[in-house]
Amino acid sequence: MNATTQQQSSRQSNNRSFKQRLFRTEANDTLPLPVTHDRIYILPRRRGWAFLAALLIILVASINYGLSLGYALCFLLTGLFAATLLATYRNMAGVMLHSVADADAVAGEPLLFDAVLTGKNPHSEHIDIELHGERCYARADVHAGSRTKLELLRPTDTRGVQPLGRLTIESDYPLGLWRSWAYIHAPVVGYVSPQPENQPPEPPAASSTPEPQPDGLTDTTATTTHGEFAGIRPYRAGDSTAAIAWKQLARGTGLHTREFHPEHSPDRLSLSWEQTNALSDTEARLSRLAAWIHMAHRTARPYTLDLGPYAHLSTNASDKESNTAIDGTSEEITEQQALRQLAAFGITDLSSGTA
Amino acid sequence: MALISLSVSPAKGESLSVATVPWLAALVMLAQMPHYLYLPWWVSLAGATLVVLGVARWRHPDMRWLTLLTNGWSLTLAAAIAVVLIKAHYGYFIGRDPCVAFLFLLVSCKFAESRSIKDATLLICLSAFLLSTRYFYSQSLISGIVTVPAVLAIGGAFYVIRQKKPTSSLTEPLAITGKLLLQGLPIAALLFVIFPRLPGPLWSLPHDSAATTGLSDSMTLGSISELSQSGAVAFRVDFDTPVPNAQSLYWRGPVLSQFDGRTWSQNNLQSLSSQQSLNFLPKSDKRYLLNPDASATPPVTQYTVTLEPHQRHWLFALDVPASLPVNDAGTQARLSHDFQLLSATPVSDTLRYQQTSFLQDRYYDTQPPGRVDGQVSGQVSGPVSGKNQRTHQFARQLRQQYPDDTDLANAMLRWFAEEPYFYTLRPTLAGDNPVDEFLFDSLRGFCEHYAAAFTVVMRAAGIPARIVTGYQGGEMNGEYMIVRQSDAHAWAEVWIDNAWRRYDPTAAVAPSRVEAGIGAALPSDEPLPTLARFDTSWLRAAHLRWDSVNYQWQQWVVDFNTGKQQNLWRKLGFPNPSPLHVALVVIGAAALWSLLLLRGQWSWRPLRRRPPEDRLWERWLRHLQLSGLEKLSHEGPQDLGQRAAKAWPVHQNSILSITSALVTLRYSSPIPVARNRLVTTLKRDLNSLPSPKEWRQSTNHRDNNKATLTLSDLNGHYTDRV
Repeated sequence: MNATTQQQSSRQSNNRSFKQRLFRTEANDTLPLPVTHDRIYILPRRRGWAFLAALLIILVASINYGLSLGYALCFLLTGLFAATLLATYRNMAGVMLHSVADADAVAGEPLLFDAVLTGKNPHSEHIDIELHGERCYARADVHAGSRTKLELLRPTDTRGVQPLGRLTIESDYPLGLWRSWAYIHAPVVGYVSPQPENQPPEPPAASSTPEPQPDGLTDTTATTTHGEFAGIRPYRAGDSTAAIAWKQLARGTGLHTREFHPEHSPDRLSLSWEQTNALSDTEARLSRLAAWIHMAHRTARPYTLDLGPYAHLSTNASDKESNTAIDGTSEEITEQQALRQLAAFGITDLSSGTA
Repeated sequence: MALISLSVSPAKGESLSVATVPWLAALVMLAQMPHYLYLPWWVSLAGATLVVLGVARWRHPDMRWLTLLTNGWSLTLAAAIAVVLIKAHYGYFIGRDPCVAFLFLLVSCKFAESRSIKDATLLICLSAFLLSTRYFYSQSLISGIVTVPAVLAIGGAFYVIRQKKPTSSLTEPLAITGKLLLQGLPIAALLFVIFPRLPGPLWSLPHDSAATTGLSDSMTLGSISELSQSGAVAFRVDFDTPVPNAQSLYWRGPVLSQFDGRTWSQNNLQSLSSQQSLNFLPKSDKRYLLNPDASATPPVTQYTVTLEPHQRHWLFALDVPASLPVNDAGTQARLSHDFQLLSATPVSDTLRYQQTSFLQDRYYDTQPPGRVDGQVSGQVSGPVSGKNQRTHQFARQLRQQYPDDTDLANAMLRWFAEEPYFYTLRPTLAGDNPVDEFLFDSLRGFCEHYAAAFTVVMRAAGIPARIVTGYQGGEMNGEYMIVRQSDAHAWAEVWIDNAWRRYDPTAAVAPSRVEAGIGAALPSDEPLPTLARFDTSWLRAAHLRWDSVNYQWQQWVVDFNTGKQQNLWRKLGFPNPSPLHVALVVIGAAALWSLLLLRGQWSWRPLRRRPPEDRLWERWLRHLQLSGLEKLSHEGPQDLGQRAAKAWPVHQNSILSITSALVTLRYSSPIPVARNRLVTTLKRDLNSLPSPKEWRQSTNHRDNNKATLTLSDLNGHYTDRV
């Protein structure tokens, strides 16, 4: 009994690994990954089949009428066809998918996955390499040595986590008679965060510091640059553009951010799932949270985000933190991370993007 | 031929870019051009016009009438009209020639109509097919050469229609197609040599056979040499008895006894003899076949002939037929008085019959020639007045010399053998007295010239003679023999001593024609002594060379057949290759080929030429190395030069000059003119260096204390020199 189940399971796993090898159904590939012979497929395109049919007709006519030159023409073109097969293969082999970055987008706007292609060996040139996945497509020549950036744009409509899925990298260079392709399935995901609510109510202040809210947030853009100058530090993604140290940039020392001691430290916001109780719809509640997070980042107010039991920590740091709440000083988490939390809300299986 | 439907809806799929149009137009024109020679003029004209219209539409997309004229509907209509017109012109449609004409027009229509990439793909495939159909008419070397640009255009067209961003580059598609073609050439050659040649047609369209080559009931000088350029099969033979030797393989066909000075044709009494056939089975009535005085029977051979359809009545049998053909299908046949086997109906399908022959070069007849049942045929002997007078005079001289008929005939054969007659496929003949011209002026002819001249001489000498056409020889292909149109032959039959005797003057001129076939008789390098007797201008030499190149082409490419294929296998050590062998060879070769192409140095990037100073620098280093001075890893040209000058003070000047030139070329990027001059000087200096061996001997071993050279010294030297 035990043995048979073992056998069955091993057969299943064999079957699975076979399928995985053929079709890369699971996101197991790690980038950078060179496209090598073990994953290149090559078959004639429709144009190639049409050409083959023409060759067959020529051959039959040559046989029937005993035309030696007909044979010669037919075989010359067959040689061309065969050489094109190798050329197509050579064009494809050695292309390297260097990286594809996780992408972020607001629902309704397209996700943009940045793929970087390089050549494996420095003297090769790969012409007209196409990259396409589900609802996205890009094409470029990949030159030796240099990195070629391809932008895969995928339209979105609803909030969620969209795995990039299996990418097909293909080319039919030089004559379009053969199509060579390879599947690459890397665990890359796109986070589609909820559309921020249009006119959200004021976010509630943190309960631990029950100070009254400052009136309105009209002065938002100026807040971060007001106050006493405290110094500069290297720029981090998410810093306000208003705080960029232009002088340093002009001197060529790189991107820095000016830091200020706030005149009066803004109150820490405590954003949580429960605070959106007023709304019944999950998506509406997430939209409100998204709007609040936006607001907090614009005003550089520290905040905490607590999505309660439904949260799924999605970023790479997620494994380290068992706590679902993010300690939201803006230095600690980026807006991106917070929005990714919202995008992944309620989704248990990230790789398939389903709840 | 399938009617390939023209897509009626406009531009399905991806639309075609304008940049591809010149390529497609060039392809269509290259594929169509050879056909202009063979098609009715109006078909060529219509085809060319449609192509021009198609190009015009792309150039002027705003012209409504052009768009209207070249849309799918009007072109479908045009194709339909073409069908009707072609049928009217040829009288039939399902046949080779009308279908080629239609394909020709179809390609034009498709070009005019092409708007999408799909259209273009179909157009390219149709053009490729059209390209192959020209070989129906000519398989000459020129035809082969003319195909090459068209093949390049096929690849180029594929290249440009694939491109997403079309380039206007002309060389890029051509270069890549050329490269691919070269890479594919080994595979092409292998397939050409190894692909089994299936005998005979897989099917035959009803009218095709009318156009096939074969013997006819008349013979103009030149008609058989034309015929012998066709590799088509005339018939195949299975021998029940041992295969006769080559000298007796005379396949008797139409007998021509009427001559008007130019053309030989069948006897006027053809109609008569069709009623007056021999009512006997020759086998049982041996008086025709045996010398009445001899008792021994000649060797008998039995065989089965599989005759390709030729739309004529005659059947072929080895000389001399001893029986009427026995046929399972019950085809009626008879033997005419002049020993032609004639079928009751024209042979329009492959016909298989059993036949018996006596291998004998004569047959006896009780009736003298010229009289068939009392009727006189004036044409069997006697001169034709007014024509070929010199021949007649020559014959009269011979007659005076040789009163005996046999002696005279043999003397004539000797004449052919001893005089510088030349056996060639391309005789130069013109004029009203072709026999005279051949016999005394050109001395170049094919078998029909020799047979005709021989017959005319015999007749002029008063001996009844006639021409027999047929085939001579045949090629054993395993168990059976193939007789091809190229084996077509003509010989003479002369009435001497109550028998029609076979005389083959061709054998006197080119014995190998009879012994080993036409291939052996027409050597590729024609013997110079013969040539020397003629006008030896370079033009003639070039012409002969061209003839021989063509002949080689004919022999090795056009006539590459099962026999040659088997010979090749035999030479490789596989006398009887099984399909497995063939498959293994193909697979092995393909694997090797792929390996070479994938691993080898067939880079896609064009090799960048290295600058000359790099190569010269390496040469300099090699020279010093051989002379015993190794470059140290930290040394540049300057330091190396100083050390070398120290080691060989004798050569200090040249060392200085070389070093300074190398330094200037490498580091100061002079203007091109100065650069070229410098390279030339440097090359000359390097060339004029004594050999490293001498240098080794002249090495300065003393640690000399001469002032070390400085950069300024070198520069000063350089400015002096340049």
